[in-house]
Amino acid sequence: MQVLDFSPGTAVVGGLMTGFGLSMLYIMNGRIGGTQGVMSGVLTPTNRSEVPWRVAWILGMITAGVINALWIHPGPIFVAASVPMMFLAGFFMGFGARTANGCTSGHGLVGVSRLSKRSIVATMTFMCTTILTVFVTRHIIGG
Amino acid sequence: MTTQNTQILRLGVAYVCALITMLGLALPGFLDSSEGVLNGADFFGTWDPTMMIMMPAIWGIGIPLFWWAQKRGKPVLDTVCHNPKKSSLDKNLFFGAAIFGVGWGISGFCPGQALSALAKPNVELYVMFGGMIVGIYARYAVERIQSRAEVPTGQAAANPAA
Repeated sequence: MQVLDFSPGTAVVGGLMTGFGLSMLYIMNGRIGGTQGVMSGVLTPTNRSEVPWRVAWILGMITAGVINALWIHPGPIFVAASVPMMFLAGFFMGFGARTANGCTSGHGLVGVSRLSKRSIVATMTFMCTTILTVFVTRHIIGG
Repeated sequence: MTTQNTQILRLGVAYVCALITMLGLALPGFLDSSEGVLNGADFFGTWDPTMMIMMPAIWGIGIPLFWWAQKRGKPVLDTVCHNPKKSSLDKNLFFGAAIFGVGWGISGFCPGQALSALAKPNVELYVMFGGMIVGIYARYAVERIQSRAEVPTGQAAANPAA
């Protein structure tokens, strides 16, 4: 497994960058960069004029991934779960995020930064079920 | 500035902001491993503090900047901010978030992480991303069914879909 950089230092620097990027989208464009909202707005658009900026945002996200792959962390991804579990996980996240009208970035990062009651509640809720799920998979089921 | 130039600028801003946002996530390794999130949530096992430090860092800069945005009133390059319409808590919020968290706790990759991580072809990740799209469409189908179940007089259903 490649060595990664999970540490308080990268957490702070990375966190400031992420917070800055999301905030600037809102300050400059007046839009919320929540991945579920961006994806839903492209997959099931209700307003065609809201598609182009979302495409630009998605391209920026992919570019970051390419830069990461080439220069920051070259090497394969490590995924903990099996293919069928990953499909299930993806389904839960897609269905759940749309039902809640937001995912980790939409509610957890932007919504909390806006001090939105809905987002704070959503974030606390999914943090709890994430923690619970990890507990079950690692300490009850798994080895 | 012409409206066309403004639109081009907005697209450029969206692109650059996404780049910065996801490079931030890339730095510690969140685009490369489920372990950042899973260890971040593993309080009873191999706990890693990175995620629990990164989120407050994001809020630390986000809260003042979003506060300032609200104080400004309107965005720099547009006429109005597009804010979520709902403000009250409802069943969909709880259940949706709860289910979402289970998915994240299985995979360790949230939708944003996954989308950027597509740059590195990986079977499990691509399958997860496909599952996400299926899940979004499944919810869309539920919304369509619910809105068709509206009373013919035009009265909205008791629990309007997200």
